[in-house]
Amino acid sequence: MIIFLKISSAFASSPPCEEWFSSIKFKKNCNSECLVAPINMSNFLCHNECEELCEQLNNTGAFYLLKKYGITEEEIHFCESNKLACVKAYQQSWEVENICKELFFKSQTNDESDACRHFTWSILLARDHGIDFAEKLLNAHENNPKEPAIERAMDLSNNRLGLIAFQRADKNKKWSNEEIIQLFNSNLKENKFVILKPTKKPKGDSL
Amino acid sequence: MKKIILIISVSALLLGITLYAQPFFGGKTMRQSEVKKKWGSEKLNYEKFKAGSPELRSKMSYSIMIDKSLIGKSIDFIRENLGSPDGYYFMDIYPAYIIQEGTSSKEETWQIVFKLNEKYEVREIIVHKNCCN
Repeated sequence: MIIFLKISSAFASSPPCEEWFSSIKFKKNCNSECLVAPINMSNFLCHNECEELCEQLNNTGAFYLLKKYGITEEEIHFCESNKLACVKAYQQSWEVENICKELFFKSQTNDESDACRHFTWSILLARDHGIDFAEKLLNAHENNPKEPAIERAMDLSNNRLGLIAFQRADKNKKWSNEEIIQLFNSNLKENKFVILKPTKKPKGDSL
Repeated sequence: MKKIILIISVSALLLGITLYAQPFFGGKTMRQSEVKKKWGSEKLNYEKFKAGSPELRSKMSYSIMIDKSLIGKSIDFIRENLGSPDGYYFMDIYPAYIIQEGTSSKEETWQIVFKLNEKYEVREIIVHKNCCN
Protein backbone atom coordinates (compact mmCIF):
# COMPACT_ATOMS: atom_id res chain seq x y z
CA MET A 1 0.00 0.00 0.00
CA ILE A 2 2.85 2.36 0.91
CA ILE A 3 4.58 1.59 -2.39
CA PHE A 4 1.34 2.24 -4.31
CA LEU A 5 0.85 5.59 -2.61
CA LYS A 6 4.45 6.64 -3.21
CA ILE A 7 4.23 5.68 -6.88
CA SER A 8 0.89 7.43 -7.27
CA SER A 9 2.35 10.63 -5.87
CA ALA A 10 4.94 10.58 -8.64
CA PHE A 11 2.15 11.09 -11.17
CA ALA A 12 0.64 14.14 -9.46
CA SER A 13 0.95 17.59 -11.13
CA SER A 14 4.34 19.13 -10.31
CA PRO A 15 5.86 22.59 -9.93
CA PRO A 16 8.50 23.85 -12.44
CA CYS A 17 11.47 22.03 -10.86
CA GLU A 18 9.74 18.67 -10.87
CA GLU A 19 8.75 19.15 -14.51
CA TRP A 20 12.34 20.07 -15.37
CA PHE A 21 13.61 17.10 -13.37
CA SER A 22 11.28 14.63 -15.07
CA SER A 23 12.67 15.66 -18.47
CA ILE A 24 16.23 14.67 -17.56
CA LYS A 25 17.31 11.29 -18.93
CA PHE A 26 19.45 9.86 -16.15
CA LYS A 27 22.13 7.35 -16.98
CA LYS A 28 24.00 6.46 -13.82
CA ASN A 29 24.00 8.85 -10.91
CA CYS A 30 20.91 10.99 -10.31
CA ASN A 31 22.46 13.64 -8.12
CA SER A 32 25.57 14.40 -10.17
CA GLU A 33 23.69 14.41 -13.49
CA CYS A 34 20.93 16.59 -12.09
CA LEU A 35 23.46 19.19 -10.97
CA VAL A 36 24.80 19.62 -14.50
CA ALA A 37 21.48 19.39 -16.37
CA PRO A 38 20.67 22.46 -18.50
CA ILE A 39 18.47 25.14 -16.91
CA ASN A 40 16.77 28.33 -18.13
CA MET A 41 15.16 31.45 -16.71
CA SER A 42 12.10 29.57 -15.48
CA ASN A 43 14.00 26.93 -13.50
CA PHE A 44 17.42 28.43 -12.78
CA LEU A 45 17.11 27.61 -9.06
CA CYS A 46 16.28 23.96 -9.60
CA HIS A 47 19.83 22.70 -9.14
CA ASN A 48 19.31 23.49 -5.44
CA GLU A 49 16.59 20.84 -5.31
CA CYS A 50 18.53 18.02 -6.92
CA GLU A 51 19.21 16.13 -3.70
CA GLU A 52 15.58 16.15 -2.65
CA LEU A 53 14.27 15.33 -6.10
CA CYS A 54 16.71 12.42 -6.46
CA GLU A 55 15.70 11.06 -3.09
CA GLN A 56 12.06 11.20 -4.16
CA LEU A 57 12.92 9.43 -7.39
CA ASN A 58 14.68 6.64 -5.54
CA ASN A 59 11.84 6.34 -3.05
CA THR A 60 9.18 5.97 -5.71
CA GLY A 61 10.90 3.20 -7.60
CA ALA A 62 9.55 -0.31 -7.13
CA PHE A 63 13.08 -1.49 -6.33
CA TYR A 64 13.54 0.98 -3.50
CA LEU A 65 12.34 -1.80 -1.20
CA LEU A 66 15.45 -3.75 -2.06
CA LYS A 67 17.84 -0.95 -1.14
CA LYS A 68 18.12 -2.31 2.35
CA TYR A 69 19.15 -5.65 0.89
CA GLY A 70 22.23 -4.06 -0.62
CA ILE A 71 20.93 -3.09 -4.06
CA THR A 72 22.94 -0.13 -5.32
CA GLU A 73 21.53 3.09 -6.70
CA GLU A 74 22.80 2.12 -10.12
CA GLU A 75 21.00 -1.22 -9.91
CA ILE A 76 17.78 0.51 -8.94
CA HIS A 77 18.11 2.82 -11.92
CA PHE A 78 18.89 -0.05 -14.29
CA CYS A 79 16.12 -2.27 -12.95
CA GLU A 80 13.46 0.41 -13.30
CA SER A 81 13.72 -0.22 -17.03
CA ASN A 82 14.07 -3.99 -16.67
CA LYS A 83 11.75 -4.84 -13.83
CA LEU A 84 10.76 -8.42 -14.51
CA ALA A 85 14.21 -9.45 -15.69
CA CYS A 86 15.78 -8.03 -12.55
CA VAL A 87 13.31 -9.85 -10.30
CA LYS A 88 14.32 -13.09 -11.94
CA ALA A 89 17.99 -12.13 -11.78
CA TYR A 90 17.84 -11.69 -8.00
CA GLN A 91 16.02 -14.98 -7.61
CA GLN A 92 18.93 -16.52 -9.49
CA SER A 93 21.41 -14.93 -7.08
CA TRP A 94 19.79 -16.92 -4.25
CA GLU A 95 19.88 -20.06 -6.40
CA VAL A 96 23.58 -19.49 -7.04
CA GLU A 97 24.43 -19.68 -3.35
CA ASN A 98 22.77 -23.09 -3.14
CA ILE A 99 24.62 -24.28 -6.25
CA CYS A 100 27.96 -23.22 -4.83
CA LYS A 101 27.17 -24.75 -1.45
CA GLU A 102 27.17 -28.12 -3.19
CA LEU A 103 30.87 -27.47 -3.74
CA PHE A 104 31.93 -25.60 -0.64
CA PHE A 105 29.24 -26.44 1.97
CA LYS A 106 29.58 -23.01 3.56
CA SER A 107 29.47 -19.52 2.08
CA GLN A 108 32.30 -17.18 2.89
CA THR A 109 33.81 -13.95 1.63
CA ASN A 110 36.78 -13.41 -0.67
CA ASP A 111 37.45 -17.13 -0.92
CA GLU A 112 36.67 -19.81 -3.51
CA SER A 113 32.99 -19.91 -2.60
CA ASP A 114 32.80 -16.17 -3.28
CA ALA A 115 34.43 -16.66 -6.69
CA CYS A 116 31.98 -19.48 -7.38
CA ARG A 117 28.96 -17.32 -6.64
CA HIS A 118 30.11 -14.51 -8.93
CA PHE A 119 31.19 -16.80 -11.76
CA THR A 120 27.98 -18.84 -11.62
CA TRP A 121 25.66 -15.85 -11.39
CA SER A 122 27.36 -14.24 -14.40
CA ILE A 123 26.75 -17.30 -16.53
CA LEU A 124 23.13 -17.71 -15.42
CA LEU A 125 22.43 -14.05 -16.16
CA ALA A 126 24.05 -14.26 -19.59
CA ARG A 127 22.19 -17.48 -20.36
CA ASP A 128 18.76 -16.20 -19.41
CA HIS A 129 18.95 -12.48 -20.13
CA GLY A 130 21.76 -11.99 -22.63
CA ILE A 131 25.33 -10.79 -22.28
CA ASP A 132 24.45 -7.11 -22.43
CA PHE A 133 21.94 -7.29 -19.58
CA ALA A 134 24.28 -9.49 -17.55
CA GLU A 135 27.22 -7.14 -17.89
CA LYS A 136 25.19 -4.05 -17.02
CA LEU A 137 23.52 -5.59 -13.99
CA LEU A 138 26.74 -7.12 -12.69
CA ASN A 139 28.63 -3.86 -13.03
CA ALA A 140 25.79 -1.94 -11.41
CA HIS A 141 25.73 -4.49 -8.58
CA GLU A 142 29.43 -4.00 -7.90
CA ASN A 143 29.22 -0.23 -7.96
CA ASN A 144 28.79 -0.06 -4.22
CA PRO A 145 30.78 2.75 -2.56
CA LYS A 146 30.89 0.79 0.69
CA GLU A 147 32.64 -2.23 -0.72
CA PRO A 148 36.46 -2.11 -0.44
CA ALA A 149 38.08 -1.54 -3.82
CA ILE A 150 40.14 -4.70 -3.68
CA GLU A 151 37.06 -6.85 -3.03
CA ARG A 152 35.19 -5.13 -5.83
CA ALA A 153 38.12 -5.83 -8.15
CA MET A 154 37.97 -9.52 -7.23
CA ASP A 155 34.24 -9.68 -7.88
CA LEU A 156 34.47 -7.83 -11.20
CA SER A 157 37.26 -10.10 -12.34
CA ASN A 158 35.37 -13.28 -11.49
CA ASN A 159 32.21 -11.90 -13.08
CA ARG A 160 34.20 -11.23 -16.25
CA LEU A 161 35.51 -14.79 -16.27
CA GLY A 162 31.94 -16.03 -16.22
CA LEU A 163 30.89 -13.77 -19.08
CA ILE A 164 33.94 -14.68 -21.17
CA ALA A 165 33.28 -18.37 -20.58
CA PHE A 166 29.71 -17.86 -21.75
CA GLN A 167 30.77 -15.94 -24.84
CA ARG A 168 33.37 -18.48 -25.89
CA ALA A 169 31.11 -21.47 -25.50
CA ASP A 170 28.99 -23.04 -28.18
CA LYS A 171 25.85 -20.96 -28.78
CA ASN A 172 23.69 -24.02 -28.27
CA LYS A 173 25.21 -24.96 -24.92
CA LYS A 174 22.46 -25.49 -22.34
CA TRP A 175 24.48 -24.39 -19.31
CA SER A 176 23.02 -26.75 -16.72
CA ASN A 177 24.12 -26.34 -13.11
CA GLU A 178 26.39 -29.37 -13.49
CA GLU A 179 28.10 -27.90 -16.55
CA ILE A 180 28.67 -24.57 -14.81
CA ILE A 181 30.15 -26.27 -11.75
CA GLN A 182 32.38 -28.41 -13.95
CA LEU A 183 33.69 -25.32 -15.72
CA PHE A 184 34.18 -23.56 -12.40
CA ASN A 185 36.25 -26.47 -11.09
CA SER A 186 38.46 -26.59 -14.16
CA ASN A 187 39.06 -22.82 -13.99
CA LEU A 188 39.84 -23.14 -10.29
CA LYS A 189 42.42 -25.85 -11.01
CA GLU A 190 44.03 -23.54 -13.56
CA ASN A 191 44.14 -20.67 -11.01
CA LYS A 192 42.08 -18.40 -13.23
CA PHE A 193 40.10 -16.82 -10.43
CA VAL A 194 41.08 -13.85 -8.33
CA ILE A 195 40.82 -15.06 -4.75
CA LEU A 196 41.90 -12.78 -1.92
CA LYS A 197 41.65 -15.40 0.84
CA PRO A 198 42.20 -18.87 -0.61
CA THR A 199 41.13 -21.68 1.67
CA LYS A 200 40.41 -25.31 0.93
CA LYS A 201 39.82 -27.40 -2.14
CA PRO A 202 36.26 -28.02 -3.26
CA LYS A 203 34.89 -31.06 -1.43
CA GLY A 204 35.19 -34.37 -3.19
CA ASP A 205 37.64 -33.11 -5.74
CA SER A 206 41.41 -33.32 -5.99
CA LEU A 207 43.44 -30.38 -7.30
CA MET B 1 -3.46 3.55 -17.41
CA LYS B 2 -1.61 0.50 -18.72
CA LYS B 3 1.60 1.86 -17.25
CA ILE B 4 0.00 2.27 -13.83
CA ILE B 5 -1.36 -1.28 -13.94
CA LEU B 6 2.05 -2.59 -14.94
CA ILE B 7 3.77 -0.70 -12.13
CA ILE B 8 1.24 -1.92 -9.57
CA SER B 9 1.57 -5.51 -10.81
CA VAL B 10 5.35 -5.50 -10.68
CA SER B 11 5.35 -3.83 -7.27
CA ALA B 12 2.96 -6.47 -5.96
CA LEU B 13 5.07 -9.21 -7.51
CA LEU B 14 8.23 -7.77 -6.01
CA LEU B 15 6.66 -7.41 -2.60
CA GLY B 16 5.34 -10.93 -2.78
CA ILE B 17 8.71 -12.35 -3.73
CA THR B 18 10.46 -10.36 -1.00
CA LEU B 19 8.04 -11.59 1.64
CA TYR B 20 8.06 -15.14 0.29
CA ALA B 21 11.80 -15.26 0.01
CA GLN B 22 12.55 -13.84 3.46
CA PRO B 23 12.32 -17.14 5.36
CA PHE B 24 13.64 -19.02 2.34
CA PHE B 25 16.92 -17.24 1.94
CA GLY B 26 17.00 -16.04 5.51
CA GLY B 27 17.68 -19.57 6.73
CA LYS B 28 17.89 -20.76 10.29
CA THR B 29 18.70 -18.26 13.01
CA MET B 30 19.20 -18.47 16.75
CA ARG B 31 17.43 -16.45 19.43
CA GLN B 32 19.49 -14.37 21.85
CA SER B 33 18.75 -16.77 24.72
CA GLU B 34 19.91 -19.71 22.65
CA VAL B 35 23.12 -17.89 21.70
CA LYS B 36 23.83 -17.18 25.36
CA LYS B 37 23.14 -20.79 26.32
CA LYS B 38 25.34 -22.21 23.56
CA TRP B 39 28.36 -19.92 23.73
CA GLY B 40 28.11 -17.87 26.89
CA SER B 41 28.09 -14.10 27.26
CA GLU B 42 31.57 -12.63 27.33
CA LYS B 43 31.74 -8.85 27.15
CA LEU B 44 32.46 -7.43 23.72
CA ASN B 45 36.07 -6.41 23.22
CA TYR B 46 36.67 -5.03 19.72
CA GLU B 47 40.37 -5.81 19.58
CA LYS B 48 39.89 -9.37 20.75
CA PHE B 49 37.04 -9.93 18.34
CA LYS B 50 39.00 -8.51 15.45
CA ALA B 51 42.02 -10.69 16.14
CA GLY B 52 40.19 -13.66 17.54
CA SER B 53 39.21 -17.08 16.34
CA PRO B 54 35.60 -18.10 15.70
CA GLU B 55 35.59 -19.68 19.14
CA LEU B 56 36.51 -16.40 20.81
CA ARG B 57 34.02 -14.50 18.67
CA SER B 58 31.22 -16.88 19.55
CA LYS B 59 31.59 -16.03 23.24
CA MET B 60 31.02 -12.35 22.50
CA SER B 61 28.09 -12.89 20.16
CA TYR B 62 25.40 -12.63 22.81
CA SER B 63 26.86 -9.32 24.04
CA ILE B 64 26.89 -8.02 20.49
CA MET B 65 23.29 -9.03 19.88
CA ILE B 66 22.01 -7.19 22.93
CA ASP B 67 24.18 -4.12 22.42
CA LYS B 68 21.72 -1.43 21.33
CA SER B 69 24.54 1.01 20.62
CA LEU B 70 25.52 -1.00 17.58
CA ILE B 71 22.17 -0.44 15.92
CA GLY B 72 22.53 2.52 13.59
CA LYS B 73 26.30 2.20 13.36
CA SER B 74 27.73 2.43 9.87
CA ILE B 75 29.20 -0.45 7.94
CA ASP B 76 32.53 1.39 8.10
CA PHE B 77 32.37 1.34 11.89
CA ILE B 78 31.66 -2.39 11.93
CA ARG B 79 34.52 -3.18 9.58
CA GLU B 80 36.99 -0.93 11.42
CA ASN B 81 36.14 -2.31 14.85
CA LEU B 82 35.30 -5.93 14.19
CA GLY B 83 37.61 -6.57 11.25
CA SER B 84 37.10 -7.86 7.71
CA PRO B 85 34.06 -10.08 7.47
CA ASP B 86 34.63 -13.72 6.60
CA GLY B 87 31.07 -15.04 6.41
CA TYR B 88 28.37 -14.42 3.82
CA TYR B 89 24.68 -13.68 4.17
CA PHE B 90 22.58 -13.03 1.13
CA MET B 91 24.58 -10.00 -0.09
CA ASP B 92 28.31 -9.23 -0.29
CA ILE B 93 27.77 -5.96 1.52
CA TYR B 94 26.32 -7.43 4.77
CA PRO B 95 29.19 -7.93 7.27
CA ALA B 96 29.06 -11.49 8.56
CA TYR B 97 31.57 -13.14 10.90
CA ILE B 98 31.98 -16.86 11.38
CA ILE B 99 31.57 -17.79 15.05
CA GLN B 100 31.51 -21.55 14.72
CA GLU B 101 33.31 -23.17 11.85
CA GLY B 102 32.39 -26.65 10.73
CA THR B 103 35.04 -28.63 8.88
CA SER B 104 32.57 -30.58 6.78
CA SER B 105 28.94 -30.51 5.75
CA LYS B 106 28.17 -32.72 8.72
CA GLU B 107 29.22 -30.00 11.16
CA GLU B 108 27.35 -26.78 11.73
CA THR B 109 28.77 -23.41 10.78
CA TRP B 110 27.28 -20.33 12.39
CA GLN B 111 27.86 -16.65 11.81
CA ILE B 112 26.86 -13.32 13.32
CA VAL B 113 25.39 -11.02 10.71
CA PHE B 114 24.90 -7.26 10.68
CA LYS B 115 21.92 -6.55 8.45
CA LEU B 116 21.98 -3.07 7.00
CA ASN B 117 19.44 -0.46 5.99
CA GLU B 118 19.47 1.61 2.80
CA LYS B 119 22.05 3.97 4.34
CA TYR B 120 24.40 1.07 5.07
CA GLU B 121 23.79 1.33 8.80
CA VAL B 122 23.11 -1.61 11.09
CA ARG B 123 19.38 -2.26 11.42
CA GLU B 124 19.45 -5.73 12.95
CA ILE B 125 21.96 -8.24 14.27
CA ILE B 126 21.30 -11.96 13.92
CA VAL B 127 23.10 -15.24 14.44
CA HIS B 128 22.56 -17.33 11.35
CA LYS B 129 23.36 -20.89 10.34
CA ASN B 130 25.74 -20.70 7.41
CA CYS B 131 25.89 -24.48 7.02
CA CYS B 132 24.13 -26.81 6.61
CA ASN B 133 20.43 -27.31 6.05
